[in-house]
Amino acid sequence: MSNSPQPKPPSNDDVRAIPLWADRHARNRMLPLMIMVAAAPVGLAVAASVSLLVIAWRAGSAVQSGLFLAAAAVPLAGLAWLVFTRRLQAAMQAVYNAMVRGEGHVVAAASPEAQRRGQSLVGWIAFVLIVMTPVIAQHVHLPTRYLQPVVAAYLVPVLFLQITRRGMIGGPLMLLWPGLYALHALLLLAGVPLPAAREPMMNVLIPLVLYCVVAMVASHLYSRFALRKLRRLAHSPAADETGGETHG
Amino acid sequence: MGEPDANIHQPTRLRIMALLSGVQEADFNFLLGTLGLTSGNLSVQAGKLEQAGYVEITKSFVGKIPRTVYRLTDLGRTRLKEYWEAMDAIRALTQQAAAVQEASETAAGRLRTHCLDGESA
Repeated sequence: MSNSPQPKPPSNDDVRAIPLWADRHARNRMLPLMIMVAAAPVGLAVAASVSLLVIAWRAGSAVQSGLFLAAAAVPLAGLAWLVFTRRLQAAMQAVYNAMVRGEGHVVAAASPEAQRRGQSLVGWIAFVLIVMTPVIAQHVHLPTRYLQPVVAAYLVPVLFLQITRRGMIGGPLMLLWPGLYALHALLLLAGVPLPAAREPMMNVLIPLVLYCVVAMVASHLYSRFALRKLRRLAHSPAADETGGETHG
Repeated sequence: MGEPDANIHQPTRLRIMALLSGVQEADFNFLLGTLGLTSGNLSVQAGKLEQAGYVEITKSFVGKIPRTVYRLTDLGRTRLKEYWEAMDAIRALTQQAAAVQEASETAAGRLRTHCLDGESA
């Protein structure tokens, strides 16, 4: 249309803030939901294998130990199959797609570090250490209340690095996860009587899962705030004026 | 100083590009809801950006549901950066021109006052 008014130059700062809030929304929304979905099969596999490993350690005879170790290998192999064949990822993606169908799908820009291959190696080492620490601790008679601080000593830096450098896990609010886990360890070392489970492994895993959920919920709530802010910035009367026409 | 890119200067297209520059990719529904556009408007404006080579549009199916995903190309990212640089330059020039105009008006006012004082004397 030749006589349509020339659009105003978008000199406002709102448009420039759109990429920032889009990134904040996408980064905080994606992974928390996916981890929540993934938590069930992974958690079950870990719990089953750890229980069997502990039983194997306690078993008197070598035959019994071997049997339980072989049994523990089944859920661990299942977990590895889910992860390495990307079936878990596909399942998570399908659930995620169903969850966000109405709102739409958006993917945060990946950091260059996150795109490198072999990035999950550190995570796998941490996972093996978590599983093995209670077993070893039982052997060396480490008091149960020191288990979580021992695990925190290597897990907190790993989580911190994964979140900050690799860009794998959500936004900055996910730092609540290692932060709270470290605080939990410090409180235990200071002698604060925190609730404890009878099973040594649970004293390591329950805080780990609990603080992860706390961080994910905080991160997800922030992503909702970011989306509202993004919509306020991106909804523009100037944009609506153009309607469905084809000028420009 | 270069002219602002006309393909980007249009408000709807600028917002589409700004949003896509902050993420890796976004689908049709996300852009529709976030930008508050009509389906027709979004399709037309995104199509123009695709023609210009600024946006890559991928159509696929998730199960039986069609999905259109939009992604800013490297060219689009570069052009958007250049656009903001051009806008900054225009803004700086406008501010400079306003300052010059203000200074000249002040000088003219002083001159006028001086002349009037001279006449009355």
